[in-house]
Amino acid sequence: MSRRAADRLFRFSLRSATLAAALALVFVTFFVGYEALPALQAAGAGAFLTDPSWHPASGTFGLMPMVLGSLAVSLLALVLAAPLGLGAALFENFYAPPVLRGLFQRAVELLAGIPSVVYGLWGLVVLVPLIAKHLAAPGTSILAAGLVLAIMILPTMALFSSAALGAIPAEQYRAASALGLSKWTALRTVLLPAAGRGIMTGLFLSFARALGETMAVLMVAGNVPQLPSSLLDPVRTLTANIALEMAYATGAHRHALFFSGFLVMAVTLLLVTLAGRSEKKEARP
Amino acid sequence: MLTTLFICLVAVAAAGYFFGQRKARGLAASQNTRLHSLPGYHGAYVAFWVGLPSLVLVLFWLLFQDAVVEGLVISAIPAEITQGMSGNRIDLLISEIKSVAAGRIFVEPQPYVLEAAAHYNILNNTAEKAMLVVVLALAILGLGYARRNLSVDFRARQKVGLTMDGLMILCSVIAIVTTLGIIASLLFEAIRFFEKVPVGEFFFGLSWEPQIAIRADQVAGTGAFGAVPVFTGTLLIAAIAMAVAIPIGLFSAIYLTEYAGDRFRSVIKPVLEMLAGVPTVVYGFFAVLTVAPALRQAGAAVGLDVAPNSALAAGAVMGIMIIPFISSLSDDAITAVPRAMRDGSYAMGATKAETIMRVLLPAALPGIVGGILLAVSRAIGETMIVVMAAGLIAKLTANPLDAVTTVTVQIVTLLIGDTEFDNPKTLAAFALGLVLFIATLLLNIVALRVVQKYRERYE
Repeated sequence: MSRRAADRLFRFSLRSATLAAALALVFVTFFVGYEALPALQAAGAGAFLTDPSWHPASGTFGLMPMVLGSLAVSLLALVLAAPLGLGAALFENFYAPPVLRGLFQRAVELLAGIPSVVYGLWGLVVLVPLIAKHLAAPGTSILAAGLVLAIMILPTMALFSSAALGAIPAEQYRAASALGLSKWTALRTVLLPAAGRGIMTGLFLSFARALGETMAVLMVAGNVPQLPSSLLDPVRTLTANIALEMAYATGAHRHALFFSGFLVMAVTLLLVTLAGRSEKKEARP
Repeated sequence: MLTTLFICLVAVAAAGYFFGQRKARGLAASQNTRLHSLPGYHGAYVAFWVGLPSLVLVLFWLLFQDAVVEGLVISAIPAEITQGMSGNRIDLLISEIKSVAAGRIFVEPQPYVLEAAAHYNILNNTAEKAMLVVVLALAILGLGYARRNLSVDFRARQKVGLTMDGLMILCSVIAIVTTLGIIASLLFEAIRFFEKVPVGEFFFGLSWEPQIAIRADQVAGTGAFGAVPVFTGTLLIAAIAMAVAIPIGLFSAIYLTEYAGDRFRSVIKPVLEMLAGVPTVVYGFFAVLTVAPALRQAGAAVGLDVAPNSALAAGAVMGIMIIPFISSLSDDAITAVPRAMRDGSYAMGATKAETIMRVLLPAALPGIVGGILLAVSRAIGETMIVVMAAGLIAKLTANPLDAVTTVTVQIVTLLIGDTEFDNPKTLAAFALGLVLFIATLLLNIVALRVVQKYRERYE
């Protein structure tokens, strides 16, 4: 084989691998959409909103309790993790002594790699009994799921905020200090606005991760498909619903589950795309 | 109740902000001078005094309310009943009273239990109301105190700055302490497991049948906690995933950095990154419902017996999930190779393929290896895909067409259906969790090290 032919063959195999990867996404999307379609045709998208409850056996497919459950759990996690993560990032970049800084950064990077099932395990055995003892039995609740998710997405939030803050030229902070701004005022009026886009990227990705997480939530949320009325109520998320029922679902029930999977996938992909957008604009000088 | 309390607190804090701001403005106007700090800082100072002490109080109240109420209920029960009861017996009595109080009555309880339950409900009710009153009183007290402190010279900006500094340090401490807490509880429960099952048996035993070992005294005899098949299963599935993800991820990274035009890249790169955003539960049913049956049919066509939940199906789909980790980190590593090395190779007359194979890849290797290690740690920690698509029974095999189980699957199945976490079966979940935690941690440490070293080389 001539060198030129080898070159071409090389290029061709690289290109095929790239296209294969892209096709995998198309294929997964198509598969989920194809299985979800009959649910839309049979009942119409409205039925998922208007049916009063989720009783697949008797033909009511109200997804509202699960949609609200997913939103409640992820939003609670975001509300808890966003200030904590941002605070940790600010501490790391502007308060920590240099020795601590590297250590802290490394620790957060390692936290990001802990498998979610470990968090779920801890939530189930430590957090849930604590809530049951001090707040309300049985403890499996929106609060428990939100807390476990918050701890899970905290590193993501901290890493992205920290990267965004680290990318700001040091002169900006120095100039702010030279003008007599105190540390906190400089952070609030100069650095946080400058890092805004990067922080948004972190928020989007954290939210996507919280929405898509299944196992950790399933272990601690209680999984009752009902409209929650307080933070201490058990709740079932869309992803947990799929994981719990897919094994035995048939017919319309199965298509409805695929539809909910399609929903979660659409929302998380949208969030990931938004995060990519916001990151790209950040990179432009 | 708590929700009401928090809404009230937020309202009082907002009022505090408003009052503080207004008072500061009024002071400046009446004394016809300028404030030391902007009115907003005065407002924030008052709001902090409303919010922070009350939040701390709520936390402590919730922590101790239960113990106090229990103590009161027990002491109200006639002494001749509780006398001579052991601590355990009293704990049992308390949980009986609690379930009766919550309306969960299974057998007709003793009259004194019913009475205690009613007492418990009344006390709890009172305690909640008392908390609301006390906390709101403290909040208003804080408002009054902070508002009285305000003056034109008051250094509100410094106070707010200090508080915010403190809150940020608190944030980092919380982040670190929770993690240490998680690790400590894993370690603690794992030690309890190893008190019941010898360490050697867990790490070197070849038979994993935790479902049989129900009683503690059965454990040693049956030897059901040998985790080797679980570890090999995890490694098998991770290896299959890497066999799919490494070539595809690496090839697409090379293509995107070295060959693709801007338009192609701007379309394909986000698509690849989306692969990491697909919820794992979606991948899970993709594996079970599409890939596994397809593999089975293909196997039948060539005369191979493929298990319905084969390691190959779970591993292949996991590989798809991992592609973006490898491709984006390899992409970074290849881009970081200095231009001069490329130009030098071309100047010697090497073709593009030769340049990539002989110059770029060796130079970028450490970065690529770091990415692969991170991806491996992702693969062994992944849960949902394997829970749905891999097997439940631990089998010591290297055949990818067989069903194997993984550490994560076992953690989940061991905990299902149990509410008491003190038998060897559920404690085994902690031992597995600890092993998983340490393994992913080590992989991450090594990976980050390698990537770091690599970055330093070209910077």
